[in-house]
Amino acid sequence: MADVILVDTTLRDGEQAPGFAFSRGLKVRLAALLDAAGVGQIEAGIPAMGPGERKTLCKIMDVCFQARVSTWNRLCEADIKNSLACAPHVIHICCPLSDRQIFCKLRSDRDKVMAALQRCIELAASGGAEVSVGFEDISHVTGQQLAQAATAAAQAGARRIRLSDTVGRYTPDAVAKAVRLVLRQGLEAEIHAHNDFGMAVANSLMAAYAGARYVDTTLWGIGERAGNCGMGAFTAALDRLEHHICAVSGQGAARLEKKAAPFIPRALLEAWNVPAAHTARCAFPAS
Amino acid sequence: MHTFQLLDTTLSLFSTAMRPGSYRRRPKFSREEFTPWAVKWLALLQDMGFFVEIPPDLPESIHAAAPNAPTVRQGTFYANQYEPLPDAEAGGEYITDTPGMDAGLPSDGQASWLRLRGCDHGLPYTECGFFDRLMPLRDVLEFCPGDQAGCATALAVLWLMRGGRRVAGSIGGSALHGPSSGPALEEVALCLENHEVQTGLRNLHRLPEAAALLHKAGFTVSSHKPVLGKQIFAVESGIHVDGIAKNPALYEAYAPESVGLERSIVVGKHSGRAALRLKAAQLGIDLPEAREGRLLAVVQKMAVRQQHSLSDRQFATLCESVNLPSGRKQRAVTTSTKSAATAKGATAAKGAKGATAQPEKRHG
Repeated sequence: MADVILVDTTLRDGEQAPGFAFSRGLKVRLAALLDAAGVGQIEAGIPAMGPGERKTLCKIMDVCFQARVSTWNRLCEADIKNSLACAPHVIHICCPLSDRQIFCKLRSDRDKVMAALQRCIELAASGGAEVSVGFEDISHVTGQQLAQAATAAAQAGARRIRLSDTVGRYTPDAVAKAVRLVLRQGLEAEIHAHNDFGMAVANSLMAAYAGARYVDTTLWGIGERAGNCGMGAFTAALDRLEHHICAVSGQGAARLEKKAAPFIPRALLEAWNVPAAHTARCAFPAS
Repeated sequence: MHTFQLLDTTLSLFSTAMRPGSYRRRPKFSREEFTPWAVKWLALLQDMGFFVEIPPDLPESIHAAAPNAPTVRQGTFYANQYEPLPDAEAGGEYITDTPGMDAGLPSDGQASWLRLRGCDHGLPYTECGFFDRLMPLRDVLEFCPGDQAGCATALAVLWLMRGGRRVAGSIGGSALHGPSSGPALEEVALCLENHEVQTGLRNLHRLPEAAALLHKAGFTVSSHKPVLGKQIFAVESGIHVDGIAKNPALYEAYAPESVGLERSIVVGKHSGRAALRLKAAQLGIDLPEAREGRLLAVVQKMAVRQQHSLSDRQFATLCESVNLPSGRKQRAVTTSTKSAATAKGATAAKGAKGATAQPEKRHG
């Protein structure tokens, strides 16, 4: 059994990189490639975006043979209901956890957020899907806040905690500490690293060494700002360090990225340092 | 106060690359052109507070221009990372002379540094004594971790946070110079500052000038390279635009202006109403709330059809197509002043409208 399970979020967080806009056909095609490459979980989209996105998610479910499909949701019961309509394997709920996210963005307080989290988890679990909770802006959260929230999530029925390093400021030692804290609550841990300081791969590796079983990646490392943890870079590093096994090897990820590149507009991928030889001139329709 | 030194080795990397038979990527200029480029590079990096290593084969004038810059000693060598650490007094590995180094450091009498390279595989061991073993040499050890496993920046940051004094690397790091060139110094610097560690660096808003100089040398920085990339502060998704409107720090690890960049809002498939409102305000377009839903649907449809976000021009045209009353006004504004598309667009547009209205009255 693999030590590390890749959760590919190209179709959700990757697509949120400015400029990208995947059509339904493209998302389904990319999902099929990810599934064939051995990715364990595909974060396929946000059902709350509308009926079109929900239809896409259902099609993705149809083409995935081994990968589990997950949906991303805000901390909102309406979002969860939209997800339940798609019957994904995993329902992921994003929960802002830092003081600044709760007070500045949500304009709420911690008690209300925890109550909403409990309601959302229970609703999501009622459909039979596995529930994972992502704690947003985790690098600005204290150990005590994380422990309290993880306990509340576990009691409500969540099985996995995603440590979302929203602004990419985690350092490897802090990641390891947080992962161990989550594991101590009897939950599985997942790392979602951003590359704002060029440390997404290192933070993801460190999380895996500390016991996180799930690592979020995107093809070519695309994502908001400086991007996410790149699948090719992460699996190559994992192979090189030889401590953990992953269903997708470094070479396998490189092949996958090469296969998928011609489907994406060349101009977009060149901005992410993808070699021009991997992209196709015809992929970008004239606008 | 604990003071760090971030030593840039770009000039040495270029100098090595220009030697016959070198495996390193060569800059796109001759030896003669290299000297004036190096003078500019040196002045720029020293202005930002970085230390710069000067290779011995550069003309004497450069050494004279930077008396405090460390110079690579001739005949030094790289040791295998698996060999035992050398004795500081005996020298070894890769030594740099550091005349005048006491300018930035407590006077500890040290005149030479040992450069520790490699350690690409060190990350898993950082929790079990990897740095403890090096700490006795911290005042003379210059850490230059390799990036074969994508961990150079993280290793450099951990070394400095745990008490190390000096890191050698390069602006741009392995993305430009290959994995053996050490960490990207701008990433290390910004990460330390983000954790409120005093680095002694200043004027980091000049980093784009460094990227421009590298571009002149034929080393183009990717648009999404951490810290240096021109597009790292572009934002499209509805949640993020909304969050940034409330407090930019929610979705930005450091302010764009602190690294000489600008924030921009991109309109596309993932935009929400907040993004449309902000973009319209930037372009000086009045967007009635009743039209937002319709405009959003059209924007998303167009983005998916063209597999790309919308340009400003496309967005303005769509605003007109949904019969926004101010569309024509916007055209007048943009032709009369090119400054309409600024962050203070709404205010600027109002001012511009006033400015265009007054002459009409006078003529009338």
